[in-house]
Amino acid sequence: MTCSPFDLRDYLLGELAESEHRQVELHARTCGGCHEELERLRITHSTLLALRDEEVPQRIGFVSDKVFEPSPLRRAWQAFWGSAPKLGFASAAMLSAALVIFTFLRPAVTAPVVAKADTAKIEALVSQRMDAAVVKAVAESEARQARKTAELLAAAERRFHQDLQSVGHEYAYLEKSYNVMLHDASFQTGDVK
Amino acid sequence: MKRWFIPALLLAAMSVAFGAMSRVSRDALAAMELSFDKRVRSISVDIPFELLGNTRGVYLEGYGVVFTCEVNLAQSMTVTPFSLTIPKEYAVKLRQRKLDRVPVLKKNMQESLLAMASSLDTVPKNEQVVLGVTLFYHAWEDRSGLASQIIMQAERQKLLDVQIGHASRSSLDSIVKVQEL
Repeated sequence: MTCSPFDLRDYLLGELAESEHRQVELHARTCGGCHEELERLRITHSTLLALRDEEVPQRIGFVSDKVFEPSPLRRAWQAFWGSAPKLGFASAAMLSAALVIFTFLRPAVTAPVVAKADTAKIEALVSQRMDAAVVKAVAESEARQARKTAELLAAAERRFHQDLQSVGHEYAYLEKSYNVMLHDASFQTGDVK
Repeated sequence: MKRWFIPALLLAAMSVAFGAMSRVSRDALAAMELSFDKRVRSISVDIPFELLGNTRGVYLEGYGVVFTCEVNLAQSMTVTPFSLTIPKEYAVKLRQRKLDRVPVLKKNMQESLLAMASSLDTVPKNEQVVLGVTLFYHAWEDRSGLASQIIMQAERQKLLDVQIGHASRSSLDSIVKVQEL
C-alpha cells in the first residue's frame, strides 16, 4: 500500500500526465516507503525487459500426447534396466570381455632382478647344502665300507693264519714221518748205527 | 809187601778209569732204541702206531738210562691246502681210538722197561731205567682226556726181580712209576 497520489505502476510505465508524473516524482523523493516500492518496480520492469519475446502456443499440450512418449532408445534402455536377467547377462558379458582384453593386453610380467638374485642365492645355498650332505653321506658310507672291509680282512687274515698254522703243523708231521723213514732206510743200508 | 802194592794200585786206578769212561756202550743203547722202535711199529697191524721220532737213549752217570721217542697213537687223515677241514665225526672217532690205545702203549712200555733192564747189564742195579714217549696230535684233534707225554721209570733191580720171577708181574704197577703229562 502506498501513499502516492497516483499509481506508481502507471508512473513507471509512463502512462501519467506530466503534472501527475511530477507530483509522484516529488512524493517519492520525500516518502521513503513509496521510494522503496518504486525501486522494486523498476527492478522488476528492467528484468522483464531483459526476457526474450516468445510466441504464445497455439494449443495446450497433454501428458497423453505422443509428443510426451519416450523414444524407442529410451524405452529399450528402460526395459534393459528393468530386467534383472538381462542386466546379469550384460554384467557377465562385460566381465568376460574384460578378462579377454586383460589377457591379451596385459603387460608382460618381468621378474624383478632382486627376485632373480634371491633365486640364484637360494639355488646356490641349496646346492651347497646338498653337496655337503652328499659329501657327508659318501664319507660315512665309505667309512662304513672301510670298517667292514677291515673286519672282513682281519677275519680273512685270522682264518688264513689258522689255516697256515694247521698246514704248517701237518707239514711238520709229514716231515717227522719222512725223517723216520729216512732214518730207517739209512739204518738198513748201514749208514746209521 | 812193596812188590804187591804197586801192581794193586795200578789195577785200582785202571778200574776207576774204565768205570768213569762209560758203563753203558752206545751199541747197547742203540740196540734198545731199535728194539723199542720195532715194538711200537708192531703193536697194531691194521691201523699201526706211527713212530714219528726214533727212540733215542742216553746214559746219565749215577742216575741210569733214559729213552725217549715220539709216537702217534693212530695214523689218520691229514689237512692239506686243498682240504682244510676234517669232519667232526672223524675227529671224535679218532679220539676214541687213541683213548683205547693208551693202555696198550703203556703195557708195551712196561714190557720194554723189563727188556731194557735185563739187556743193559752194565747199568748199575740201583740206577733207573726210564722210558718217555711223547704223543703226537694233529692241530684239529680233540685232545681232551689224552696225555701229551707218558713217562715210566723204575729201578733196574726191581725190574730184574720181576723179570727173573722174584716178584710177580702184577707188582709192576707198583714198581713202575708212571707220569702222564
